[in-house]
Amino acid sequence: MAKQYAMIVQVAKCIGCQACTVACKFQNEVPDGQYRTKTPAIGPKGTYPNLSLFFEKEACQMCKNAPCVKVCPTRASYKNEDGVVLVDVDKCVGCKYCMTACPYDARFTNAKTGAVDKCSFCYEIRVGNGQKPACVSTCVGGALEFGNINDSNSDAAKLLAKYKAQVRKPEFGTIPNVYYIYEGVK
Amino acid sequence: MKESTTAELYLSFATIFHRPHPEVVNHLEELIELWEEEIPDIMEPLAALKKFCQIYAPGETRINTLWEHYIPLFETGSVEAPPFASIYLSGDGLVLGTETIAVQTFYNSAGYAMGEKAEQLPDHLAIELEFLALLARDGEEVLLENFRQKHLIPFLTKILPRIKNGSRPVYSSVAQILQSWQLG
Amino acid sequence: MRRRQFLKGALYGTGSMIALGGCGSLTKVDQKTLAANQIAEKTVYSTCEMCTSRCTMAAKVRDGKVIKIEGNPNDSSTAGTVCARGSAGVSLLYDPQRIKKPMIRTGERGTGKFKEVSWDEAYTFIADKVTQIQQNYGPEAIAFASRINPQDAFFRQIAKAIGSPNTFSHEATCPMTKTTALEMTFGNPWIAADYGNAKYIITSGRNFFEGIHVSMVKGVMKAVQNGAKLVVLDPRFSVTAAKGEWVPIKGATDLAFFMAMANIMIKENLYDKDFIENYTEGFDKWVEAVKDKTPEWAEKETGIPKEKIIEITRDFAAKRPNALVEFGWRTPWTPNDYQCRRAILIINLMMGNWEVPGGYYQKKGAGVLQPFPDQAGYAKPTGGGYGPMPPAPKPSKGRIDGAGVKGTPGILIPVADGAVGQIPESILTEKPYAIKGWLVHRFNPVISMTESERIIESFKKLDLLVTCDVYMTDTAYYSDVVLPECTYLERYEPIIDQSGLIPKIQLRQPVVPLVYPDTKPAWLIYKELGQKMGIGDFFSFKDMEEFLERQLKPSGIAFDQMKEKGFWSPADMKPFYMRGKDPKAPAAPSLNEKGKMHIFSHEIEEAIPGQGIPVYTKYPQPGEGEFRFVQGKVAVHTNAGTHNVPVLNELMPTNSLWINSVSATKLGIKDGDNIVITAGKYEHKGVAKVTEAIRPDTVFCYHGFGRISPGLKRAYGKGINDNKLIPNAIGESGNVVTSMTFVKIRKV
Repeated sequence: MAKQYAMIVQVAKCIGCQACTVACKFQNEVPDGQYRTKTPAIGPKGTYPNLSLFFEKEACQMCKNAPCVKVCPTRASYKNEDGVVLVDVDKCVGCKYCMTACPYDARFTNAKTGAVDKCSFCYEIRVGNGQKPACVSTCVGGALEFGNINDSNSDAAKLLAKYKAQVRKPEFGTIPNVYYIYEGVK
Repeated sequence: MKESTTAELYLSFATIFHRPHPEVVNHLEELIELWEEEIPDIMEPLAALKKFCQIYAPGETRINTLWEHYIPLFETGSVEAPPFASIYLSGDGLVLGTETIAVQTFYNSAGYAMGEKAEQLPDHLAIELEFLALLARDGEEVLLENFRQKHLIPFLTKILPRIKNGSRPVYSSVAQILQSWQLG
Repeated sequence: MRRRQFLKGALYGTGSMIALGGCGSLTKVDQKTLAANQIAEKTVYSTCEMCTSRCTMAAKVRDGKVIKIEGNPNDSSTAGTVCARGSAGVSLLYDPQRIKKPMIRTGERGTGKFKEVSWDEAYTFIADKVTQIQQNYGPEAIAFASRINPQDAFFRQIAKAIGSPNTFSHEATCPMTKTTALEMTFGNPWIAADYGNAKYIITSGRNFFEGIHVSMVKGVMKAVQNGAKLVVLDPRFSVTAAKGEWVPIKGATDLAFFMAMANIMIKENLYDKDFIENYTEGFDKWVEAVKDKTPEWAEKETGIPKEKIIEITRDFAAKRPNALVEFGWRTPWTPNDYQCRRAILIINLMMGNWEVPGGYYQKKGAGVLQPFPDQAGYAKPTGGGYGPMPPAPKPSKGRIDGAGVKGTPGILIPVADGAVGQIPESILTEKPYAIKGWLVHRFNPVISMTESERIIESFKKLDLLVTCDVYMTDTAYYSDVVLPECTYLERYEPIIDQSGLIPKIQLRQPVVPLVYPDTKPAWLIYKELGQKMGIGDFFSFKDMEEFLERQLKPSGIAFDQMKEKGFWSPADMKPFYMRGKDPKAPAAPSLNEKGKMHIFSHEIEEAIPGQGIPVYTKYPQPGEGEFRFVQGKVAVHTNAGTHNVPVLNELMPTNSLWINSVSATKLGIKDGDNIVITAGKYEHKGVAKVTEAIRPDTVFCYHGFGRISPGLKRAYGKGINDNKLIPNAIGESGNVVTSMTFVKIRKV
């Protein structure tokens, strides 16, 4: 069976420490002031003293039906054989159609390369070497998991089997490959 | 070795953008004289420099005044105009970036390298100017023009406005003169 | 023409190099040498220093440049992770704003005018001034203050060699009250919690998830994921509170909560009598002390409903012995905070959680294992690195803070740390005698100590102020001499003992050569300064390689192995709990000869009669229009250390003042409004963050912002410097007092 790489975010274990944010920045040489991923706080919600607060990692959702791929006039945005959406920097003409099409606001123009940039699951630089993406490897709270969910033995697949997972903005029909598990969120 | 005015000019700017040193600071008048003779249309900065020399005679007060401006401008803390090319040309605002490596590779290809006792990074403004002084002295005109176009001009375009528009005497004037000569 | 001689001489007269002023860096080389210098990619394992937790780390180095810092994948305690600060170390290393050369002040203090000098000039300047002060006032007139770190021993060696007793760490501004409590209860402070196996954790303000220590985060998160209850007493809704049950306790009343817990546990028979009998002394006095500390009483003090106090106590006690109350970290909240920490330790003793999973334990360094035949073989202790040393002169006067003197209140102040707040007081009041010189290493009194303006005032009275750091800190800005230390990624340091339930030693080593060639590691700076001062024989090691070889020799661990792996732990040893298999096994804290833990402390009683057992002090609460001012940590910054580090500054450049929405409405303050905070004679501008996440009688800001050194360009003038508003008081255990200041807020 073909691979399908996916990222699983266990929201209850995320402490919003931004270790992922910074690891990604150095791993992918993301320029000053720009980010492929960030983990903002959701909340605090409620009224004193009954409050809730959690953090939700934001990045490319690696959609199966990726709107960015569909609108790209030069095929710079594409989906590879392992289900990962990537950008070919050399083909990108910077038209920004993909940025408009993305419902997750996950793309930006890289100030260094001039091409559109976004999370790549560290596909070329880590996953190819058998490593997990930089953010997953350094997650202090242990909230992130990554793997081939078509392999039921992978840690990622096991988490999806065990817990109810959600995707962001399902109404867009994008079928993301980043899953959020809210089990244990207060 | 043939004498080269170009080499002298590059060297004059290199010495100024290096850390203040009595050998140079106490001979500021001679550098001014060189620039006045060789670089056109620099009346205003020259006047400012001459005035500085009048107020501060060679000696401790002069060099301490230069330190007072050199440190926050280039060296430590606020670093109003970081003197490293990498800061402007490598994209992350840090030293030892891709531009540093590129410059170092160029030095090597010309048969030069940073010595063991070097106190600066290879892409420091003064080192790049020193390198050009050496190339001019050695008569390496092709290499010189190549380095100038590829590395020095992009760097000067970014850094000179910062030095020039600052309120640091001597350095802002010298930046204006270097700009007239190189980017004029 | 004169210039023909001047520049031409340099260009044509001296061979291939240019020798003029600062020139002469470039030299002719042949291509062969260059080819040999090509380096490929490698990983260097070392120890992080972006905070004081000393996590293991792995630096990815390509062509001599650090491209990324990751966790050490072989270290199970961090699971191969580093936090945001750890990753951001690369941007500190390559920051153009670092200090690059020694500097001597040329203008008035605080005008920021300096010249750069050679190391020799800097050492000579310091040595001359030190000699002058020694001759005029005695060596004790020179105070030394540093942030505790593995290499500050070299800094303290200078004090030892000249005979000054006045050495201080930053600890009085942070965890010292818990250190005092641990020492008075267990006889030593090297006690740690086994969070991962706990079934119930109560924390009084310790904010695990924002004051990040990676292995502790992992432990607490593991416990919570396994279903442990996490109760967080804090006037502010922190990230830690968000992961557990938030109990918004009234400030400065935590001791009341714990006394009531003890009251309930005794009344309802919910404690471990066998443990108390076998391992502790003085419990009867504690029973007496808490007999009227009922939940009803505690409700009035703490604002926590008595039912809630009872519920927490019962549920917690039901999990004994695998449950713990965290003794805290940044704890100098009240003048007698150590009594609150003592009470917390006593609750833990009542749980019998000593040396069992999910409780507290003596850190298992190799030395601790030696009396246990089954364990002793796993590790041998390391040794000293200094080599032979002459006898140190005996200080002729006592310390300015009286620390460590038996039978006096000074016994409560840990001597290794001292009451650092006494330094500015002794400078200004000359009591008990004058301090005339202050050497500061990797510490920033202006921001880290209370009452910034008083600290600065004290600087102005000094004959000598020296700062050694990586940045032009707020204290460096006022200093006479500034010494540029290289970063932790460019130096060796003595062996770091990070033992937990098994022994663990770590190495900090250079992962790349010096970025700025004239910066130096602290060991070299103080060795060379010592030589200049004529006390070089107190540093009889050639370099750190020799020092480390000497340290490692008795342990039998090879230096090369440490360099290759970055840390060492016995491979096949299981976590060692002294009482893990036998609840009656001998389990004395390592320095406590009698084997009993002191619920009642004779030492404290002797020093301050009536205080041998924790006594509740009722502190004032804020009146109408006033707020208690509290501060705390954030995950992306460390104390006053990282606010100018490029990537971390980018993530969080400033702070704001948290104020409860109801209180803000009364004052007509909206979220984002500019405000002025007033505390006594001090004022600070700031921005309001109107939130539900704080008690209505309390305001909060994250610490370390509002920097006053223009040399910290990114952080300069951004946000609120909490310590500008807090008076410099010295608490009973030598601590600064952080949470007793009431402020008023107005909109501007």
